[in-house]
Amino acid sequence: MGLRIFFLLLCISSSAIAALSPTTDPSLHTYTLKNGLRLIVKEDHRAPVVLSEIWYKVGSANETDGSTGLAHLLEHMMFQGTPQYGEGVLMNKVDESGGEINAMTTEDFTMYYEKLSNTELPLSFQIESDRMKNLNFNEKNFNKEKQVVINERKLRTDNDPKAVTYERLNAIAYLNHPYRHPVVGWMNDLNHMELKEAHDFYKTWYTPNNAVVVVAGDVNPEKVYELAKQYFGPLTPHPVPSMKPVPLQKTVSKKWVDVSLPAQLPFLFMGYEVPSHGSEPHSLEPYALEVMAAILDGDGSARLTRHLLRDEEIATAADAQYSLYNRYSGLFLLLGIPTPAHSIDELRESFLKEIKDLKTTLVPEEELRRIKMRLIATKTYDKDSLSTVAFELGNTAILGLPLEEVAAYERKIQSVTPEDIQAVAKKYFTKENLSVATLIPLPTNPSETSSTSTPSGEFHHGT
Amino acid sequence: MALKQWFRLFLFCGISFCYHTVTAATVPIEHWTLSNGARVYYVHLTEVPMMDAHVVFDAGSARDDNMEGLANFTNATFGEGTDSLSADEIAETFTQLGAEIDNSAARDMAMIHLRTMVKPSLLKPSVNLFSQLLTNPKLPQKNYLRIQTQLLQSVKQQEETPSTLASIALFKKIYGDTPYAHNPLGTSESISHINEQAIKKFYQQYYVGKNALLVLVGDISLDQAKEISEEMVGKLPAGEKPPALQNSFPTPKGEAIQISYPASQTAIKLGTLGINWQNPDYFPLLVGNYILGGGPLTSRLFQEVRQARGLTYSVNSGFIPMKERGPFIIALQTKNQDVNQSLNVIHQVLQQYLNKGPTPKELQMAKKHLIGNFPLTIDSNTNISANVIVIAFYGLPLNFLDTYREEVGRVTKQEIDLAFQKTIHPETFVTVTVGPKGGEKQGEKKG
Repeated sequence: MGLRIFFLLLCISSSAIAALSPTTDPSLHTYTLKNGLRLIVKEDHRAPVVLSEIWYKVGSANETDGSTGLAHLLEHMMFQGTPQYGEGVLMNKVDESGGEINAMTTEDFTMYYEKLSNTELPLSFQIESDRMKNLNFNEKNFNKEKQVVINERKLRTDNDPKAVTYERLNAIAYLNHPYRHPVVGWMNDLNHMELKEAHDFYKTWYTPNNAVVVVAGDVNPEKVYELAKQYFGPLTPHPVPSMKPVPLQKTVSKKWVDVSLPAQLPFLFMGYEVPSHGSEPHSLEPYALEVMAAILDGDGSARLTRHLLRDEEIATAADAQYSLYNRYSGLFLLLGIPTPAHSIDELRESFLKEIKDLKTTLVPEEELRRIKMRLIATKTYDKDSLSTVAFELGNTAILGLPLEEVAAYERKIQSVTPEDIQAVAKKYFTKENLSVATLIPLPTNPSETSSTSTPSGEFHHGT
Repeated sequence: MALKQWFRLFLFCGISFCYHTVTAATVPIEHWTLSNGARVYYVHLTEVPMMDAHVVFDAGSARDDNMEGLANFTNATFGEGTDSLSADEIAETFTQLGAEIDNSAARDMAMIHLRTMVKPSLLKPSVNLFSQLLTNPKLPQKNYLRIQTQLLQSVKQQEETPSTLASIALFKKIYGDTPYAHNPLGTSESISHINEQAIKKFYQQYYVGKNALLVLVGDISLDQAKEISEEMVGKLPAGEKPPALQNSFPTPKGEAIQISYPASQTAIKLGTLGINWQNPDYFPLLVGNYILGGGPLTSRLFQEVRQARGLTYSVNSGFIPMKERGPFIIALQTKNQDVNQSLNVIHQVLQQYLNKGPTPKELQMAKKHLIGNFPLTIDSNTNISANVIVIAFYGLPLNFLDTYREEVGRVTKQEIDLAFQKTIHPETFVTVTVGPKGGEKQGEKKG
C-alpha cells in the first residue's frame, strides 16, 4: 500500500522546474527539480566516460553523543540492497557495466558515486533514486557491517598512532563543536550501535531536498536533466532538521594532550581554530588562510620545507594544512616529525617562530607572487581529473555556496595582499586559540618471532 | 609527501579501497630514439594546457647490488643542486614557473616527473632547469646527510605500519637472495652505510641514455616534443644498458611468519612467485584474478571474507607483473581473534577456485567489467602517462592498448583454469601475519 501511494506521488512531482543559474562557464549547467533536488552537470568530452555523484548534506557533524559513526555506518548500509536490488546486486550491475562504485563520508557530507561508460548513466540514477528511499534494514546485515566498520576503524585509526593522536587533538580542540568526534565514530559507540538508529538517521536525512547530484563527463546536459526528472523527480521530499549555528569558539586557554602509544617516531600536531569558506561565505579571510598555508607548505620552496627541513634540519616532515571548504570553522594544522637530534618542543618552537614571522613581517611581494602562481597552476592541473572537478562543484554546492565561487577562486587568491595574511595571522594564531597534541612513542620492537615450514598440501594456518 | 597521503586516507572513509588495474591506452603513441640511446614515447592530448614528462631508468632496487636502498637513495637526491644553483633556488624557480617535480624508486623503475604548464614562457625554463638537474647534478654533503636522516626516519615510519612490515617480510621470504628481495627504501643499517661515492657511481652507471626512457604526455606538438626530448634526456651520456636481471628463482618454501606487533588488528599478506610482463598467460590471469580477488566489491574473496562474515574491511588479491617474475599477493587485515578463521576462509576460496575455476557467469561478468572499464583507465593525462610508462618500460607492443579489450574478450575458462593451476601453488605460499603473538588471547572481547 505504501508503495502505491508512493507511485502516485511520483507522477505529481515529476514536472520539475529548471533554473539555469548565471555562470560564466558554458560547460556548467545547473537545475533544481520540483522536489528540491539539485542537479549540476559539467561537460567534459575528453573520454566517453561519466562520473555521477550524489551528495547528501549530512555527515558526522550531524551526529549526537553516544551515536558517533552513524553517518558512516549508514553509508555502508547503503550497499546492502533494496527490495528491487537485493544484497550485492547493485554492485554486480555496476561491475558488469565496467563501472566503479564507492562512497565517502566526512564531517559535512556523505557522497556516493558511480564512474561509468557514458552510455550507462541511467544505471547510476536508477541505483541512487532507489536507495534514497527504499533501503533494506535487517539485523543480520547491520551486525555484519558493524564488524566491517570496526575493522575499518582499527585499520585506519587504532593501528596508526598518528591517527589516534589526531583524534585526541580534535577531541580537545573542539570543545562545543560538531567536529569533536571522529567520522568513523568512537569504538564504544560502534559496538553499541543499533539498527533502529541507522534507520531513523536514514529517514531523517535521505531526501531529495537534502541532496545534490553532480554529473561530470561526456554527456548532453539536457538529456541528463530529463533523466534526472525521470528517476529522481518522483521522490517525495520532507523537511530536514535545521542545524544550530556553530560560531567560532571562545577560547580562554591553550589546550594540550600527550598521547603515549607504541610507535617508532614522535609526532606533533598544532591546531588553530579558524573560519572556513562555509562558516564565513562573504569574507576574504578564508582565502588569506589558504594563501598562508601555501606560503608555509606545498612544495620544496615553501617556508616549512626551507627553514625546518633544509636550513635548521629540525624536522623530517613539517606540514601545514587548511581546508577552505568546511561547513564550520576548522583547525589550521601544523604537523610534523622532529629529526632524531631534536625534540618535539624544539619543533613546536620552530613552528611558533614561523607563525610569529607572519605576524610581524609582511610577506615579500615576490614570494607572494610565486605562491599564487603555484596555487593557480595547481588549479589547472586539477582539471586533469574528472573526480577533482566534480568534487569541487559538489562540495561548493553542499555548503550552500554559489557555484560561481569555483570560478572565482583564481580572482580571490590574486586579491589576497600581504596585509590580509598578516591580519589573519594576528587575529587567529594566538596562544589562547591553540591546541596541541603530541605522540610520545612507547617501544614497538617488531620482531620476527616464528618461522615455520608448513607441510606441503597443508593450507591451514596454525590450528 | 607520504604524510599528506596518510592524512587524506584518514579523513575519508569510503566503503572500500579503490583498486585500479594498470592497463594501456587506446591513444596513438609516437616513439623515437635519441642518438644517446634514450627512448621517447609521446602522446598528444590537448584538453588541459599542461605537460607531464616522466624520465624512467632501469635503476630500481633490483639494481641495489649488495647495498640495500642505494637505488632509492640515489633517486632521492634529485634536485639538490647544480654548479650554480642551491636546492632552495631550484625549488623557488620551479614554483615561480608553476611547475612540479617529484621522484620515486621502486623495485624495477627509478622515475623523475616534471609537470608543467605549456605556455612557452613557463614550459621552456622548466624543461631547461630539469635538464640541468639531470645532466649536471651536485650533491652538497649537508644535503646528503639530511636526506640520509630523512630516509632513516622513513624506515621507522614503515616499522609502525603493520601492512608495510608484512610486505617487506613477504618479499624477503619469496625472493631470498635474489634482487627483488630488497626493501626499496633499504634498512636502517644499509642506509647508514651508503656514502656519497656510492651514490655518484650508481648515478653515473644507471642514469644514462641507453638506460633511459622519456614519456611525454600533453598539449605539446610533435615538433615541440622532439625539441623537449633532446633538451630533457638527449644530453645524458650514452653509457651502457645494464645486464638482464637474474630470471630464475628458487620455488618459495611454504612458510608462516609471525611478526610480533602491539595492535588489536592483525595485518596479513600471503604470497608466492607470480609472473613477469611477458608471460603468455597475462590475460587469463588478469581476468581470473578479477574474479578471485581483484574486483573491489564483487570478488569471491570480498564476498566470503567481508560480505558474508564481516571479518575484514578490505581483502584483495593481485599479480604484480615485473621485469622478472613479480609476486602474487593476497592482502587483508582482521581482528586478532579472527586471524585463523580468515585464513581458513581464504584457503578454502582459493582451493575451490583452483579446483573448479570460475563459473560461466562470473567469467562473463569479469570480461564485461574489464572491457567496459577500459575507457575509465585512460580518461586523464595522469592515467595515460601511467599506462605508457608500463608499455615502454616493459617492452609491451605499442598497440597493447588497441588490442587490450579484444585480448580480454578472448579469454576462456580453460585458459584461466590452466593458467592458475600452472602459476599458483598454495604449498609455496608464504603467510605473513603482523600482530600480537598468540593474537587469540590478546584479542578484544566482542562488544
